[in-house]
Amino acid sequence: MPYAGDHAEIPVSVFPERPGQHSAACTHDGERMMNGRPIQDFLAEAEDILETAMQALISLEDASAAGRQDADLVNGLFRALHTFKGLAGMFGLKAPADLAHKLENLLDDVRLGKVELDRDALDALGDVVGLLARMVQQIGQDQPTEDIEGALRRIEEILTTRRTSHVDRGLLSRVTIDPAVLQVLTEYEEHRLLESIRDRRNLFLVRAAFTFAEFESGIRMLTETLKRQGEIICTLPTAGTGDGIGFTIMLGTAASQETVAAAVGQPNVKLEAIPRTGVAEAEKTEPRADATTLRTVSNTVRVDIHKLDSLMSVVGELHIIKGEMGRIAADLRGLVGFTGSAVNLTKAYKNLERRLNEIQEGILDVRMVPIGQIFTRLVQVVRKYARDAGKEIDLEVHGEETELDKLMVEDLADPLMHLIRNAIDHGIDLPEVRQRLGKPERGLVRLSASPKGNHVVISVEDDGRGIDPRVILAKAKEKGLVDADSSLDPERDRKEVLDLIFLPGFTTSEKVTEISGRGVGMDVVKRNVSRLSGMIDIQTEVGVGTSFQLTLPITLAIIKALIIEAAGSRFAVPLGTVLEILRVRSDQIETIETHEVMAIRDETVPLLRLTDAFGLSAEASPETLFVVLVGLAERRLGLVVDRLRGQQEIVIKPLGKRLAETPGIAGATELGDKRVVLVLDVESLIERAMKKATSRSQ
Amino acid sequence: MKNVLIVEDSKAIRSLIRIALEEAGGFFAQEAGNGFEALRTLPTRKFDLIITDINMPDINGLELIGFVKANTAYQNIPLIIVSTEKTEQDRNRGMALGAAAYIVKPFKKEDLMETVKKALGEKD
Repeated sequence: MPYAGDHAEIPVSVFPERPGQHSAACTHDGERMMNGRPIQDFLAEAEDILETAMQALISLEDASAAGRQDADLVNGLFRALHTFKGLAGMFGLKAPADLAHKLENLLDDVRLGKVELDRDALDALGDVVGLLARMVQQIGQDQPTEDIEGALRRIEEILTTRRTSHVDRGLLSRVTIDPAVLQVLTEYEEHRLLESIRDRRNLFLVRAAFTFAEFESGIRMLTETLKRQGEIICTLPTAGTGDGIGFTIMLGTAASQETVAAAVGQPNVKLEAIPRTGVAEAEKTEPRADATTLRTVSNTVRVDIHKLDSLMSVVGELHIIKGEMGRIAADLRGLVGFTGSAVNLTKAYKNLERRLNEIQEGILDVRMVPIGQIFTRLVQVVRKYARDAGKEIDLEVHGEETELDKLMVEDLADPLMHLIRNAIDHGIDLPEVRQRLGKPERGLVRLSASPKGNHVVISVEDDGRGIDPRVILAKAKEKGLVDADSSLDPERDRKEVLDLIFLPGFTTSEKVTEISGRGVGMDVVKRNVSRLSGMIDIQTEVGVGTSFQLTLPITLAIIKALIIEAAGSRFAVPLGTVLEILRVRSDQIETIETHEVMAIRDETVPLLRLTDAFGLSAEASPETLFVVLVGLAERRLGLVVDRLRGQQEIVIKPLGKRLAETPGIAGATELGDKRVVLVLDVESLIERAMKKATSRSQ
Repeated sequence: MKNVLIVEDSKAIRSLIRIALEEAGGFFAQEAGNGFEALRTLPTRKFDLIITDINMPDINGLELIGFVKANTAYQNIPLIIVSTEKTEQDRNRGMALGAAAYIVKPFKKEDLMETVKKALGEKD
């Protein structure tokens, strides 16, 4: 015998075992052993393989549902089960090895085109792979494994009932292929070749040479490129020249030689068409259309966003029903105490709430798209625009992966385009001017996005000439937007002065341009952003550059709101804008020049009484009030209210035309008790308070 | 000491083969997890034997055998195919390409060592 001695008691072998039991588990230095090898080795790899198999199976189901076949996926699944069988066998695990063997047989026939998988067969495969995964778990926990008889029968049934005729080898005579290539093809590769011939795809031999040091990255890149063109039938290593190594790849594709050559486009790669013999040439027709889709593996579906809107609307209504249920539960608890039905109803209410939140998060998640979608579009248009304007511009893009509600992303395209166009037109100087100023000739426009809690901050920055508040003030006076004798000071009231550019009528020289399609001013940009419950901030320095920052909520579809009450009327405040809530005594409110403010820590915050804001007749001022501190970007405002009425999920509904332009109101929402309340537009309320403060300080 | 290259994509099976060789004594075994790794490893040492699986991603065992047999630097290295009873056609192709022997999974340590001896042209 070839070996003996010390190691003879640890054979690498398979022991026969009784069904449902695995053999020779013993403890060795605290480690469970199987046939002399740590069982952990088996478990780790087996779990990985089954995970891969499960994913391949899911992709196959998707492909099958979309009416596609995917040879690569089937082969991947086959290979996974093949490896699993070998692995289980070598560890002496008979039951899982037998089951994997049966599956492997089936998948081998599928990949060789002898058996076809339909929906039921795929379901069965999923069940069997699931069973294998459970068996691995049971082995890991040292428990007897489940019975596999039923699973074996199911696979056998598929094997016998779904036979198809497979492709004839005679097809090989239709093409002229180097025998050196043909003889190293595995049965599977040969089958793929036959299918390519049958489907009249074009066949190419792609020959590539690489240096030994770089061959691996080189061949992987080439493989990726070719896979986008068609199907790689085989990859053969060949002796290269000198230090190098060569590869011959056989490609089956619907694409023409020119297309493939253009896609590859490398000097070290040569493309050679495999000729068809005369007979086949005569009956040559268009390649089958499905050939190109063979490789497309996608798990995505396209959904009209309005379908998601209506789903969200239903969720909003469910929240209202949930609210009613909560109140009934509370009433019942008040009636009978925390017992019996009251407890059950409360539990059911809590469960409903949890699940509802899950659905809602799921829908919101589906609505989210990376903002990069519009960035890409912007980049394309902006490059062209800069060229036309005679400006040399580098457009940098950061944070494309930041996610935002799909509808908001669409609505942001125009305002962002306008801001970028402004940067190019008014920010960045012509190359010769920049050179004189000691700046790089090429101007820089940076478009970036980053998440910030429930908000996203998008900024458009340039390294142009900056905005001079003195110029802005002069222009505003000239246009009569500010009184000629206004006490506004460009230095002291810098922010207010800069904000003047957002006034309607400030922007004048608006041409109809290719980018926006119409002349729009900064006032329109601001209105668009406000409509999305967002806010714009400007930071600028003369000679250095300007940055516009847009702060936006990530979604408008459904939001959490704080319900507040003033003079008996209820309002909803988007919770995302609420920074803190303070209970104050009326004597804590100070008045500076008829304007109410309050010291919150080291900051003096302007206050706004909702009764004043909406002309409600105030109740006799109560001793204690609530101040809801709201803020967007760097601005703060304290809303003075009488009562707090809890938090609630709300779906904001637009107001009718007549009320649509009401300042301070973003929309309406329905609460559980069938009451309709107005949703506050925090941005415009802050705006109003700021203006008031400015005018009073004058 | 005989240098052996083991090409097999299952890590656990690869180690089983390596350990079997090491335990038998007189072998230095090097592992490669796929065909590319095998191509990279081949020039690094003078191998006396290659043990290769057939079903592997990227380049498979048959393609590796074809490469070895077409390359003057390696064509004299004997090859053992690790196959399964399922892949008979592939195994036969491998033998036709010039492999010295094959072994069918799952195998016992004794079978493996016997096949190794046979491939190396040694008598029992």
